[in-house]
Amino acid sequence: MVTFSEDEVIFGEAAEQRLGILAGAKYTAKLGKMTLKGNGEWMDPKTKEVATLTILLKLAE
Amino acid sequence: MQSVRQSVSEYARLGRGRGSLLDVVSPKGEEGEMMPQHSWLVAGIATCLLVTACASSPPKGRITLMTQISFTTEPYRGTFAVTKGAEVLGCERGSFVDTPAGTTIHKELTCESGERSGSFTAKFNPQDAAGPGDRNGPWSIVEAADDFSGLDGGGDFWVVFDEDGKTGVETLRGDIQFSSEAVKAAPAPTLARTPKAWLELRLVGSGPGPGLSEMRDLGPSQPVYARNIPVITNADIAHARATRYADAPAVALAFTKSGANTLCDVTSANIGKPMGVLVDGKLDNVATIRERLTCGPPGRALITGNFSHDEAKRIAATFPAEPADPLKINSVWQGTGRQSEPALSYPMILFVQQRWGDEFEGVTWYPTLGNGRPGGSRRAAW
Repeated sequence: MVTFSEDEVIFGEAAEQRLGILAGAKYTAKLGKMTLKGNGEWMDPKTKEVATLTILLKLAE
Repeated sequence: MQSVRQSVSEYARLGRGRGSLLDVVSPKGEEGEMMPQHSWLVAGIATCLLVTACASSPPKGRITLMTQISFTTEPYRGTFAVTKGAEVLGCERGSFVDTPAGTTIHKELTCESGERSGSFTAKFNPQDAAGPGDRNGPWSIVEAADDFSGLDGGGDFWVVFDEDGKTGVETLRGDIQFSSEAVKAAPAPTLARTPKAWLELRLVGSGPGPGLSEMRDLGPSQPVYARNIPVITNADIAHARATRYADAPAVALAFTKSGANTLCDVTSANIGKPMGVLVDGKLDNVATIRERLTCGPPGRALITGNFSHDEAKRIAATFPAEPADPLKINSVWQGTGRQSEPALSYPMILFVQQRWGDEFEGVTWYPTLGNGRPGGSRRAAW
């Protein structure tokens, strides 16, 4: 099991007319031989609403 | 694109080198100094496997066996490890129970790891005679069963009590042999079997005292006073692999849950104090505890010492290897991410850039999101 967080946004800007990505999502994922599968959460810093996230990644190379 | 930094746990290091948890303060000789002894052992086994007559000869030879004994409840019990001659005895470690028999003690030893299984009983006659321990005396085999049928032998032993007298360490040294009949019943030898190592970490005192044993493995004029009770033994190690650190052979260890917690407690209470690394009962090096090891699994440490890379491989081969780690530098992961509100699914790519032990740093890329493209909606204020 691994945990990681997206700490910094390099590209993307969240705005009403220019939607993008905000940092701060935190994930807990199970590391398999070829897969990284897990769940995460992201909290809106303004409204404190929480979005639940899931990821399923496969080793490409 | 976002930066990702993951921290699973710290990768604390035992051993020399910059940033290490322990720094070696008493190196012994050059790298590979211990090699001749183990080369001889391996060569001896190889020769034995090549010579047909050797297979039919009853095993015999010198053994050294160390026990950890608790005196808190009767009958006294404990564990033992064969630090020398395990290939002769056909056993590497196990447990025992003591039974008083007049002025002697019968110790029934049960092998739990090794080529042979079963039990044998040794008679001890402890005396207050002069010797290396608090109690010293002779021992001899009086009964043997199962795979140990036909076992005979004996020698001398000494026991050193710990400070509080509740625990102690016994050392048995002597010669053993199996009868010819025992050879017929002996298990088939395992070809090309690598002798396992016995690894221990022990706190070291500043001078002689109760509960401490004087060790001169680092040199006759360099006595080290190691605690009799080890902090870590083989039983506390879950995985190991041979590696290199600061261009020196090293062994990366992953501890069991109890081993990690023990090492956490001991290192946090002894920062700045020395700890000895023992291989097969011999002191290999003494290092200084730099910092507390991360508590709980997966506790990890890297030990360096006065062993060669071959010796590091032998130590590592004693323990199960860790499962293959796919989180390698330059690895690319691709797949799908989903969010709950608003419900959205999007492609996601992770690229691993750096790796330090259990930490990694990389970037994630969402090709259909962000980057200022109108309509891309992920984690936007809604």
